[in-house]
Amino acid sequence: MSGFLTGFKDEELKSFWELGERFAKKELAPKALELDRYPHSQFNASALKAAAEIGLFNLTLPEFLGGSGQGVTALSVILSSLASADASFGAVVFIQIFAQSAIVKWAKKEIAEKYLKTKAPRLCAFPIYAPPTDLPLEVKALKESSGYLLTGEISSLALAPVAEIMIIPAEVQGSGEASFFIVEKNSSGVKVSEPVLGLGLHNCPVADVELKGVKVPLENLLGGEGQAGDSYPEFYALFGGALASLSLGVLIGSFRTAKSFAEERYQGGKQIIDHDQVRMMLANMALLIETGETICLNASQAVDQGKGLTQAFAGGIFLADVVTRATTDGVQCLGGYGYMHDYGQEKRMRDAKQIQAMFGPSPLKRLELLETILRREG
Amino acid sequence: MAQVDFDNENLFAFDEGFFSLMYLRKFNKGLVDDTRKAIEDNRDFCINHLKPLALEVDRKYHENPNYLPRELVELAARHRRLSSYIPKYMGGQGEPMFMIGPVAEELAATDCAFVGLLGGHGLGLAALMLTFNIKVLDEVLAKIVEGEKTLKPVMLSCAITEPTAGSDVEEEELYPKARLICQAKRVKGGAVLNGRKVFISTGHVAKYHVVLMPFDNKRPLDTFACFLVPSDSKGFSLGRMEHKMGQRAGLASELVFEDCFVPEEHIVLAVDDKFGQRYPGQYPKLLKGVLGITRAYVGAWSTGTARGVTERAIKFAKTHKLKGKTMINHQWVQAHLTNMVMNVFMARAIYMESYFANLTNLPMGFDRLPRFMNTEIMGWLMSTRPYKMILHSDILRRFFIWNFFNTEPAQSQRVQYMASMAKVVCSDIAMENSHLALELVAEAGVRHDYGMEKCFRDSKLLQIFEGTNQLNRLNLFNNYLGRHIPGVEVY
Repeated sequence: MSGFLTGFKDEELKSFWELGERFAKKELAPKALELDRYPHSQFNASALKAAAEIGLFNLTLPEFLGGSGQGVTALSVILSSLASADASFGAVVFIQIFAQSAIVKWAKKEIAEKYLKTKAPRLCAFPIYAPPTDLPLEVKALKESSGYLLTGEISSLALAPVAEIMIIPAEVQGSGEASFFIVEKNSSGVKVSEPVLGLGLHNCPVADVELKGVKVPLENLLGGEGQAGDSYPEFYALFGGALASLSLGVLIGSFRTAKSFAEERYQGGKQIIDHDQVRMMLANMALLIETGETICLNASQAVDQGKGLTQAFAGGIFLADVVTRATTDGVQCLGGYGYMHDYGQEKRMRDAKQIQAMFGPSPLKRLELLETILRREG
Repeated sequence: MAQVDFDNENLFAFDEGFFSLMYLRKFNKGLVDDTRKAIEDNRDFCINHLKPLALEVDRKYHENPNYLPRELVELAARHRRLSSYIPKYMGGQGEPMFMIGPVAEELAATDCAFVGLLGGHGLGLAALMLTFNIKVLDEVLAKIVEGEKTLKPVMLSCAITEPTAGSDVEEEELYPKARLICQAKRVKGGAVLNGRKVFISTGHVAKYHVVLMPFDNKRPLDTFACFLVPSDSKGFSLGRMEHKMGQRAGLASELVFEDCFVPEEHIVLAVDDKFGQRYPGQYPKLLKGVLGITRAYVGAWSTGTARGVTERAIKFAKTHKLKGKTMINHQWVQAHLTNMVMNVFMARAIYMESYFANLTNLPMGFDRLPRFMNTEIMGWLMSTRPYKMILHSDILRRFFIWNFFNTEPAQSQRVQYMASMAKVVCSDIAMENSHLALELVAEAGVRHDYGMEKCFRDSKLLQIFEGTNQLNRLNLFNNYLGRHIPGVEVY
């Protein structure tokens, strides 16, 4: 699979793709299976360090924060490569960059500098599994003169076990709307649960977080009160192309493994790949990869040019959905071996399903897409 | 913030769905009443005993991939689930084979993996029974019953799959072309086995292994044999335990045979024995008999899995809010859940039809054991010497085998294609409903503590084992359309 590369005339993007492939091969592929046993294996801190060294977390940061000011396209191109080797780390990068972008978008300049202009990146936990149009309001924020007092629980906060800072949605009391707050994890009153065991993306840890009267300074409110409810849905839709790439990368990994297995294994006196039914499954995967690349790239480029919101939104929903079915077939191509840990194929099926759960139920996302289209036309 | 995974409301109760059976009661009251009772008993068992263990056992595998589900094996023994289909005169429960399907559905709705554990044992039992070697059966069945009483469970495994031959060994046409590595050799007083078997359910917890391998792996059909190997046999060892995505309690073990000696009396069946070809063509017959039963069983098991994930999704939708409104009150959520419920009913209809195909086409009916088999006097009678001699005689055995497998080709084909259909349709539906449930529930769906992601992982295996769904499609075509279209190429 030549990946995005074939379609590229853009030398800069090509170099991002090559960077992603090199990184995936060297830092991620060799350890992906072992690290999937988290929390009974380590968090992938070495990849995190290596990624920071090559400036991955500065990719989309604006120049005033020491970043290289790239858009979603560069991110998408790299994410697909990372996810093809280990979607867990792909998700760590995606969530971190997503959270950073939220801070850049809504925080005051000095707050952004405080949290983002750091030597080593400070991982930021984010409620990536909550629907943007239905953020949990279980955490209540009580306004005091010097800041807010946060109390309540939030479930499945991504990166919470390994993060230093957290973005927490909370209801400023009586408002009925969610607002985002930056909370430092070591603040007193923050209690992070043991890592939550989930279906996939094991090395992109998740935990439940309890806040008992946690003091948060006024300026740590992102945007205005209720901002999360107002502009977050559109903000997240812009990352649709990147989310689609994360799914696509998983599929690319699944396809590679299925193809090489089918060429090696014999059944009924024939190579498996010579059985039409296996061929058809591989063909369907190839179909989705080839069209999926176009979707990811076009949607991301449109977003970088200030257009294509619904396109990116739709791309993220569509690829996440179809990739869950296609990676299920990716397991089938290997028969019993696909179901075992050793080939990494079952991990891809789980990871794809976990990615689909990001930002809430997939049918709800479809309805929101239509809602957006209707609103824009009306 | 752990949650209970589903509630105890009987959404898929007998009265709400088994309409054809209820009508059938007019003609066979006993069969239907027994089936209904078995479903209800197993439901109680699930709610009170299985449900509290299932998620916890599954979780242990994440900490230790080599964990052995001792508590589930003991649970099965304590509640006599290992002797369900053994006649009462032998100390078993004497349950009719027919209800094995609805019971599997009921159990799988709570824990798909537990059915895997019982299913591995049941497969060994079925393979052993279909050899009609009453002498070996007497010995093994008595040990299973004894094990339940003493709470030292005796489980069987059935070893078919080899490292380089999975679906191949499940089809008559493919078997001779398979790359087989296992082979037995005749020696004085018995045989020695060599090779490796993989993905064997219950392998690491079984006391006896029912092993299928030929004496000449270049001519497997003509030299096929079935062996009984106790787990403490010399030359036998357990290899690695596979780290499966789901159905972890069902285990997938590697069995290693290195000059493993099997005495003459434990060569349960040899197509080509010292008297020549006494049971010619027995392998395909045994296989078809076993698969007719087991594939329909996988259909029922899959239906239960599809149902379990649906029940959990319904419970979630009833108890959680989305955009300020209880989920189940959204119209789109109702439609989504309805699709899942319809899928369960479609799956159930197909596997039931497959069971009826067995009843209609297999000569020694699978409905209920003759009543005398479940009487005490029978137990006494059978234990007397003259009866033992008759029972263990070769003539009787050949009579049984002749009778059981003497089906018209068309009848055998009907059993085959219906079993394949049940297997494919129901397992695809289990996978699809798992996808749908997780899509609906998203965040909670992918958390272990809500139980739905376990269903998702468990479901996938149903599409793979007992012949992949791809192979079963070919088998279905072959046995159904193939015979109506002269000259059509079959694979």
